[in-house]
This record gives sequence, C-alpha cells and structure tokens, in this order.
Amino acid sequence: MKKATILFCICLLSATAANAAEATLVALENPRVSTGIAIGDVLERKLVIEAKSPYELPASALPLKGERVDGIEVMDVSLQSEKAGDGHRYQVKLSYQVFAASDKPRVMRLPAATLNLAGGNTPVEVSIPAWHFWYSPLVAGNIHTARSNAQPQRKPALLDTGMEPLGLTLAVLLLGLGGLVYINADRRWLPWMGGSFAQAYRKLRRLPPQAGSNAQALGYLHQAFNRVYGRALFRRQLGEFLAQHPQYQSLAGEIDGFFQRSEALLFAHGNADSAALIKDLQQLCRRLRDCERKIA
Amino acid sequence: MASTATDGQLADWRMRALKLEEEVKSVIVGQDAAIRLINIAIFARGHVMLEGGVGVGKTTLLQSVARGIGGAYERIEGTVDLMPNDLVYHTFLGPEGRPQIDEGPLLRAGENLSVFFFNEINRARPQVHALMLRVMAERHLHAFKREYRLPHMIVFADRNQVEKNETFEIPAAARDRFMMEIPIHVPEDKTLRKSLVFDTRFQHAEQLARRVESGLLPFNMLNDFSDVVQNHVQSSPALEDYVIDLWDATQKPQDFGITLEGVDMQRLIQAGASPRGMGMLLKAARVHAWLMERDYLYPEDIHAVFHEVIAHRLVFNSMYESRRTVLARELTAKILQTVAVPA
Repeated sequence: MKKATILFCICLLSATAANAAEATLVALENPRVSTGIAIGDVLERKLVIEAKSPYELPASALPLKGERVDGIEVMDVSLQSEKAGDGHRYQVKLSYQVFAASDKPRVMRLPAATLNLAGGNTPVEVSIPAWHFWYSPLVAGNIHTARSNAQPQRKPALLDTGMEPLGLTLAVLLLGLGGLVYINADRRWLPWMGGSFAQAYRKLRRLPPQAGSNAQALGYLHQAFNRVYGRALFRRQLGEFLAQHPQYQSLAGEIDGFFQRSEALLFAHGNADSAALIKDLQQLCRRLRDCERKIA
Repeated sequence: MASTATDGQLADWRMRALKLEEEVKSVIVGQDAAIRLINIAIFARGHVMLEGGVGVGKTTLLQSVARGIGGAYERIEGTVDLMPNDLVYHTFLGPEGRPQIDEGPLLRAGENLSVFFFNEINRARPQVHALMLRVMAERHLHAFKREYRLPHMIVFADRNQVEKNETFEIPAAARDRFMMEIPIHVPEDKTLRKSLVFDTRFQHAEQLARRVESGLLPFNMLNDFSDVVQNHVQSSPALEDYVIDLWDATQKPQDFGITLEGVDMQRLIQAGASPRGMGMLLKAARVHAWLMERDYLYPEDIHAVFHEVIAHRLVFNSMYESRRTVLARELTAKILQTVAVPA
C-alpha cells in the first residue's frame, strides 16, 4: 500500500512536471502597494504565460469581466499573444476594482484563478495564486464618528510678502510723482529739464497781464526760439528750424501763427488784449515745452 | 482821400516796379536776387556798384535796367589814363578845322540823364573817383560857366575783382557813396548754365537788352515817388531798437559774442557802418517793404538788403583788407544770425 501511494505521488509529480513543461507562468506582477486600499481603488495584475504548441490560451479561459468575488469585481481583461519559439507567449492584464466595504481595516484578496489551456490531448492549466491586501476604510467607525473626529485641514504656511507690495506701491508712487514732476515742472531739477521753453513758460506765468507786457511776453517766447535754434529765428527760417528740430513739427501751424502775430504786434503797431495774449502765449509755450521734453 | 490817392499811387508804381523786374528777368537769367536789389536801389535813389568776374553779364544787366527806366543812358570805361575832364568835356576838330569843345558823357544828356554806367571804375585814377564822388553826392556839376543839374542820375559802376594790375582800390569814403555793392555770380543752376552757353539769344547782348520794354518807369518822377515811399513806410520802436543793435554790431561785433574763424575780433573793425550807411539801409529796406505790400518795416526788409548795403562800408584793419569780400560776407551773416529783436 505504501509502495502504491509513493508510486501515485511520483506519477502525479511526473504529470505535473509534464504539464509545467507545456505551459508556464513565467511572470506575475501584482500591485506595488498592498496597504491603504480603499473602496473604488483599481488594482491591476499582469501575467506572462508561455505555452508550447499545440496548447493555446483562449480568451474564454480568462475571468469574465464583471465577475465579482467577495466584493472584488473584474473590471477589465486584456490578452495579448505573440509567437515565442515553438509556442506562444501570452500577456494577460487583469484589472479589479474594490467594491467591498468595511468600517475597519481588514485583509482582502484578489481571487486566485485557474487558466485552462486548450489544444492538447491532455488538459493543461496554469494556476494564479490569490493576492492579499489590506483594505482601509475611508472613515473610522460610522459617519457620526467621522464627523466628531473631523479636524480642520492644516493651513499652508504663508509667504512673508509684507514688504514687497509696500515697496512696489512706493516705487509706482515715486515713478508717478517723478513723471508728474517731469511733465509739469519748470525748473531745472534734472539735466534734461528746464529747457528754453520751460524757462519761458515760467517767466510767462509770472508776467502780470497788464498793458505794456505784450512785447515782454513775445520776447520771452522769441528768446526761447532763438536759444533752441542757436541763433536769431525769424519767420522765413521756420522751415529750416522745423527740419532741424522735428519734435516741434506738430505745432508748425501754431508757431507760424505766433510769428505772424508777433510781427504784427511788434512791427506794425498792432493792438492786442494783454491778458488774452499772455494766456495764449502761455498755452503755446506749455505745448512747446511738452515737445521740448518729447512728451507731446 | 489823400490816403486813398497815395495807396493808389503806391499800388500803381509797385505794379510798374514789378513789371520792370519781370522784363529784366526775361532777358537776364539766374540773377533774380540782383535784379530785385537793383530795383530797390532805383526806388531808393541809391547808386550801385556791381561786383563780379568778367563776362558774367553785368553790362547787359545794367543796359536792360537802364532801358526799362527810360531817360538817357551814358557810359564810360575806366582806364588808367582816364582824367576827370574826360567825363565833363571832350575836344575835337570840327568840320571847319577849328578845335571844338563838346560836353562829355556826364553832361551830354543834361537833366535827362537817368543812368550813368561807369565800367571798371577801379581802373580809373583817384582824381576821377573824386569827381564821381562829388557828382554822386550833389547831383550837379559846374562847367562851361554854368550849373549842370543831374537830379535823376543814378550811377551804376562795376568793379572787376579778378585783375589787380593797374587798378586803384576805391577808398572807403568812395564806397560809402554807393548805396549797394551787389555781387554778380554765375548761376549755379545747371539748366540755367546750359541755357547761357547754348541758347543763341544770349550771344547778342545788345539785342538782348533791346527786348526789355523801354520807359517802363517815368524816370523824372522817381525822386518824388521815392519820397512818397519813404514817408509812407513806418517803423515801430521795436524795429528801431533792432536796427540800432545791428548798427552797434557792425562797430563792435565782439560785444555781441560774434566770432569769425582765424580773426581777432578786437582788431578786425576799424570803422563800422556810417550814419549815412544806416540811413541808406533804412531807405532800401522801406522800398523792400513797399514791394512786399507792407506799410511797416519788418526785420526781413532789413535782412533783404543788409549785406549789400552794409558790407562794403565796413572798414577793416589793413591786415584783413585782402580778405575783405569773404570776411564781410561772413560778418554780416553772423550779425544777422546773432542779433535778436529786443523785447
């Protein structure tokens, strides 16, 4: 009896060895993390099976999509085969989704499976072992417990930005003030300020609008033109002046008008209301000053 | 009413003056500025010296102008042996074989003489210059025991600048009698130069001058009308101050910060413009204002005649006299650039 038993075992081992030779599970890749799995997680197993001819792994041998064991459902199945030597090499990908629920951590498993290969005279199968993992509930106990245990999220540490907006504001403010000063100031605070027309404008603003000031007012503006031109500027030379100083080109008409008016008042005994004349000259001079600073 | 009549008179004469200009311009090309200046001198009753090279058209220009003015036109050539009496009389043997004396070119036309052209005046001796100076200033001459009046005469003289041999530099006092010294240059415009060389009508100067309509101006009324213009055109205090500044600048240019390259400004000027010169400047400027249809003098009227009226009156230090033409032009230009209208 003992001999018979030993013989049976040897025969069984021989058969297993023969089967193993016909189809082999050469690789099995389980999910990398086996803890902290929660409901809804998708777990994937990859198998590589090599089978010799005439054995083949049919798609029907694989678990069916939607099959559920202990709350673990087969979500997707894929099978790829390629020739390898005198047989085939199969790559199987099994995706499971966890639908089991538990209010405590517990061990669960991806189910074991047996894949039957067809084609030969004798049945050949490949066994896939179960894979165990720790299921972790999303909340401890029931929802009421979770509520009572809920803690506020930790706020992210704030960057120290206190000085930057202040500096930016101050810089913008200073630039703005500088711009306003540049546009409106008459004095030579900076090297490029206090040009001829800025000086003339300052003098014109101080000039009392009374009779007898006309010649003085016209003179201030003429002096500014003379300084800019580098010599005495007369009406017939305006074309040359504007060609040399194109920044005043936009006021060509007004400049010519000024020279005409000046000639009439200075040389042809023309009369003008002093207040109106000085106001007009101030306006023109201010625009010329803007051209001088190239901000017009 | 009188004002309306004067305005009409001014407009009528202006039309004639501009017509004369157009006529002369039609035969003398490229000399528009000189023609305008001569026109101004005619109405300001000033004598004119033309300055320029040989064969640039000075004589033709003067003949054309003389034809337009009307009246008698006389000319004489300046030579080294020319004597004053050659202007006043000449002697010759008459048909009866007896010596006769006749009036010379200065007296021949009497009061009808409107233009006396002295060609190459710097070739004549100083004695001749002296006589001319007197006649130009006084416009009369005593000869043949009587007074010859030349009230309408304007002297046009020309000075050949190229040759210096056997010439007598015209002294400052003589230059001062001329209202203007006008430079005559060959035109720079290429088209005009081609025209002067290739257009056959410019080969006959005499015929060219005859194309100008004669008697455009009643020459014997010019003196009276000149007074009308001088009385009509007014000047403002600002312009008068400006003219005084210009005058000062001719005397002491260094005080106005005027400098010329390579010139010691402290030593350049021996004498600036004379009062007579400044008076002539204003006379000429008023005529310019009238031609520009203005009743008041503007600085541009002064500028239009400043160089031609002032430059030849400046007396330079002898060390700079040889560069007179260039320095005078630079100085007058600098004065106009530097002196501003006072306000």
